[in-house]
Amino acid sequence: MGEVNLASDLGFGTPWLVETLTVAILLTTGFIIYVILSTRSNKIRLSGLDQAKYRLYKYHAERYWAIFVAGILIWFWYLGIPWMPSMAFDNISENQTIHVIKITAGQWFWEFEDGGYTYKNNSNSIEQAQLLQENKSSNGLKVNKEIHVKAGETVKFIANSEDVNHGFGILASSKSMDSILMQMQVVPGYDNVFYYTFDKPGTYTIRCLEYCGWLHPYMISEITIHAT
Amino acid sequence: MSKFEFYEKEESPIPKYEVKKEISDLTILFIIASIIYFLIAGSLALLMRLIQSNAFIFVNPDQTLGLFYASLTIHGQLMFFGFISMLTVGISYYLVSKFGKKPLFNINLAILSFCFLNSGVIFLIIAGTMFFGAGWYNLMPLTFHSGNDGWSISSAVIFLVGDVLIGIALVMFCINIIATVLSGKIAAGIQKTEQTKLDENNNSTEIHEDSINKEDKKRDESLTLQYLPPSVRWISVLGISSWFPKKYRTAIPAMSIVVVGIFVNAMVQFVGNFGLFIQLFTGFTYLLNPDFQPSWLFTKDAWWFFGHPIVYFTLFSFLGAAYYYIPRYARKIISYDKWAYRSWPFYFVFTMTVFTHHAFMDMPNPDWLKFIAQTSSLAIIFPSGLTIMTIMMYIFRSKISWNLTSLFMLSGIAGWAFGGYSGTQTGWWGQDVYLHNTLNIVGHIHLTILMGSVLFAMGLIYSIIPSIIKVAFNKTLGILHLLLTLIGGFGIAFLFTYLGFAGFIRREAIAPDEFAWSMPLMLFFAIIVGIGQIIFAYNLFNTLNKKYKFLSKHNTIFYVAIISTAIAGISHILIVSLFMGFESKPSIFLLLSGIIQIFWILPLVKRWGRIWYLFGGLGTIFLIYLFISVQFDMKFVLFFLVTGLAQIFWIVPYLKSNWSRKRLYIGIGISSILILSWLFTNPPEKIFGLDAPYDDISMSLEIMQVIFIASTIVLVIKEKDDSISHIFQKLRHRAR
Repeated sequence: MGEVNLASDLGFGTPWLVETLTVAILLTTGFIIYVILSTRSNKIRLSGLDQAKYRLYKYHAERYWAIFVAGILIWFWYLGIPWMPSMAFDNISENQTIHVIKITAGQWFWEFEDGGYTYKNNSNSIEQAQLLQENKSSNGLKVNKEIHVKAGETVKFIANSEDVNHGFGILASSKSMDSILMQMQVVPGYDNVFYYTFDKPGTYTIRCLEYCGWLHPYMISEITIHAT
Repeated sequence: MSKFEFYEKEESPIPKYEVKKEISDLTILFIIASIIYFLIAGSLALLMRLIQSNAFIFVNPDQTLGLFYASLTIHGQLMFFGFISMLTVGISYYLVSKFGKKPLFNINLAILSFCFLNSGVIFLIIAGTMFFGAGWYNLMPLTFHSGNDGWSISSAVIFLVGDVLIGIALVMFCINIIATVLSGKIAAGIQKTEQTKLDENNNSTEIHEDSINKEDKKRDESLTLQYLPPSVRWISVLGISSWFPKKYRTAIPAMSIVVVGIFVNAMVQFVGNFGLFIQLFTGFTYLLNPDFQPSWLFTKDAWWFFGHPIVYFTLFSFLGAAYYYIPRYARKIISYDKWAYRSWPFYFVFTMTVFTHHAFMDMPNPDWLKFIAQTSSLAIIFPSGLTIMTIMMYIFRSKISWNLTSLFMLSGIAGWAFGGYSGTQTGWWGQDVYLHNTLNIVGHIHLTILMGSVLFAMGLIYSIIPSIIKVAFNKTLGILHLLLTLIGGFGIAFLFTYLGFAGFIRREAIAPDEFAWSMPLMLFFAIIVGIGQIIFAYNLFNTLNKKYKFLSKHNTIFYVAIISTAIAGISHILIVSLFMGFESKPSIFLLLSGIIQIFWILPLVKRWGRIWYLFGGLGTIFLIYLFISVQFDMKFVLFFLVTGLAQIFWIVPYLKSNWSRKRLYIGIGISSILILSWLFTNPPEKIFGLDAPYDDISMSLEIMQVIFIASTIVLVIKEKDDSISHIFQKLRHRAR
């Protein structure tokens, strides 16, 4: 089973997805063309014994195909277990320090509170968190439009929505759109939690990934990752 | 040999069972309605591309966004319910009767499903004109929280009512199909023809020979009407028996694979509909009681419990048919192929549980749900893989006839397979995190439905319509339709898919600079697809126009009357509940009017006679008179009546060719001024920011009432029944 050390190690990543889909489409297209060309073969007029042979050939082919497909799917399933949220997040050690970022989403804004550092096995509630590093403003909690975290530290995002469903997504760069690093839905009435570890310093765009009304395209912010 | 005789010889379907004319009439009406909605929804797709390309903008940017999201919402729901579900229902009715060798359980229920489905879709369109834009999957509570100046609550209610009617129509369809298959006798017994081995002399024991007609005859004869005990019937129709050892497998009568596909479809959707009703119930309760705090997570899950099966709903009936049609054209007719049946138990189970992968990104969902999501998402690929391989094996080394049906179906297999691959990626949790809510998902759905289900459906239309009306389609136009759909469809679907990989987020009205290059390409492919569908619509309507006559000339008028009175009645009730409350006398009057209008569906379905149509029409005229006298200045009404008549008058010069061009131009000019004057004085408020003298619901309602009156006038004049003359006879008798 694939080992997932960090929450950022989910799946195989976008380049792998592009490559495998392209290969699968090309192979299938090739197979379809091969089957089409087979209809132009001299052997097309099947009769008598040939038909029976064909039938046996077909049944055998389908039997082995079924076993092959089932095998591949079971392997995929086995590979995917460590990526499922509860499994992936369970890999984070209980004594590991976590940087808590609380997010409030609404039509059409992002609001962030830096909840400081805590241990993973503490409660999700920021109030009960053991702050290892003071990071407070005068009124108790730092409220920013931007988030600042360090590369290599595991961040626990806790998102709430004030109104409708939103999607908290962090893109791979500071461009207005780029491939996605991580995302989760922000369902109203729930603490929506996702752990993530940034590898590289830089500024990353945050966008709403769930349509939330006419001004949804303007629901943008950013997160700054500093060198350790 | 005439063109059609050749076509018929090549493509006439078996079994040789004549479907009742009223069912084939209904199927054709479903097809016609679906194509009309398809063109409307396609136009909305083009509009979205234009907006994203900055080629179509209002002065007020918010209104441009509103138009984009209303188009997006109605495009999605119209494509699902108005187009492909409409086709599925209509074609399934025909096929289940044809291959079950029996009439439908209840034809009136089928007619009602047509009327309810259309009524629901028209409500959706009305909501769209009011700029309702919560997205096709209408993620609550966004429905009721549009933000600053978004859509109104009344538009949301109209949209939800549309969904209620659609849900009811789907339930009616499911019940009808399930009851047709499970009640009485049904054609079965095909499993006896299973042959897989050589005989002792090493010769073939195949029953089929190298003559398609003999094969057809054999297969037709093996499907005989018989009564099956319930347990046997269930095992058979869900394809479970195909997994039994041969001894038991061949002992259980098998139904046609077409019936199996349609039955599984109806069963899955019947269960899935509960999800829709839970979502709608939650929405209405929240609307009526602000203190009600539902779990929006559960509501979302409930929606997807319906929302994923509806995707398969667009496919299964056609897939069952593909198992029959492709080997038939490949001249490899295998009367009973266990591999064809083996997919269906898996489809049946996992289609109902696979919805959970839509909740992958919903972290608060319980672990067991995520576990089911992951397992089901991968498990559903297994039967899909079997189906694709089985159908490809039918084509392999065959003497296939590449007619329109087989070409469309093979293309559908390709589209479905490609869509399946991208679905496998998004249905795998570790990968979905990079793809969820990007255009990749839109690419997946366009591959699966536009290039999968729709191509299967089109292929079937190219086969079923000629079988019903005995006129062949224009093959050149058909090929053109196929080529344009393939170029445009795959073009736009692959573009969506790969843009999604690059991070283009779906449902973005404003295309980011990074992807501005893709907009002209998207527009180009969308236009190519659009041209293909216009050619198809022309080919279809032209072919139907050549020969087809409905059993009753006025069936369509009846259906139009039912739909219009249903919409008008529901709208009256909506106006009372939304704006007036139930206390005042006018509100009670309107409520009663609404109930009576809905009741009038009954006389129309049951064909109670002209006296009923007459009173329905007169009553509605009275309602319109009341509306006009309350809402408008009569001078204003008269002015527009006169100008409207003047415009209609200008039809005359077009018909009479001896009118001079000068007069024609004057006429067109005056008409244009009148139309523009109407537009500028009476547009919906959202478009020009001016107050209109009426609200959208009222105008939709009045339009429906006018349509109803027109329909009843036709019925009163044309329908031959004795109800009115009988009354006059009685009156005369009493007078004497």
